[in-house]
Amino acid sequence: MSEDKVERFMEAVVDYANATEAAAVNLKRQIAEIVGVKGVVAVKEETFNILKFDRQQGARIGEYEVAYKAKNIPEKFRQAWNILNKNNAVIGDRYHGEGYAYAYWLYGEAKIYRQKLKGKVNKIASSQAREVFERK
Amino acid sequence: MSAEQKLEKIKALFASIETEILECKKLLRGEKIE
Repeated sequence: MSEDKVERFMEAVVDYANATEAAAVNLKRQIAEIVGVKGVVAVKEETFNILKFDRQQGARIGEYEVAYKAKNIPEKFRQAWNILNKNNAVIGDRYHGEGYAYAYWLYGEAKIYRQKLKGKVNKIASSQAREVFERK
Repeated sequence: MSAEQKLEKIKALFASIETEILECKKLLRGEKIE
């Protein structure tokens, strides 16, 4: 096999392993929910913290941050994006675990959003925020 | 990323997958996970 083919093969395996890992994390969370175990750990926040985020200001949701795919290491971005995607993280149902400083969500293919957690996430506030956000 | 780094990354990901699946099995057996 040529060097180029080996490289492409390894890239494909990395992609496969990233996707499989995200799926396994999601499977564990779902099993835990079904069997009623609380406090199943989310992935470590470093998965997201290693990304470069830009600060933004929204009229209704206040300060939030965005990580752009183009400004980050593609593999790191993809791994974080896959986890949020598998967990269906949207603005009204954000992804975070115990000890997280931020809650994360997706909107679009090449961006990851986050906002500082202030105690419990208010679902009503989140859905109002979603309406405003989606109109933008 | 060099081929060696990719290989290390693949190893780490597969180790992580193995851990996640083991934890799924524990949950299904009714055991608690860390």
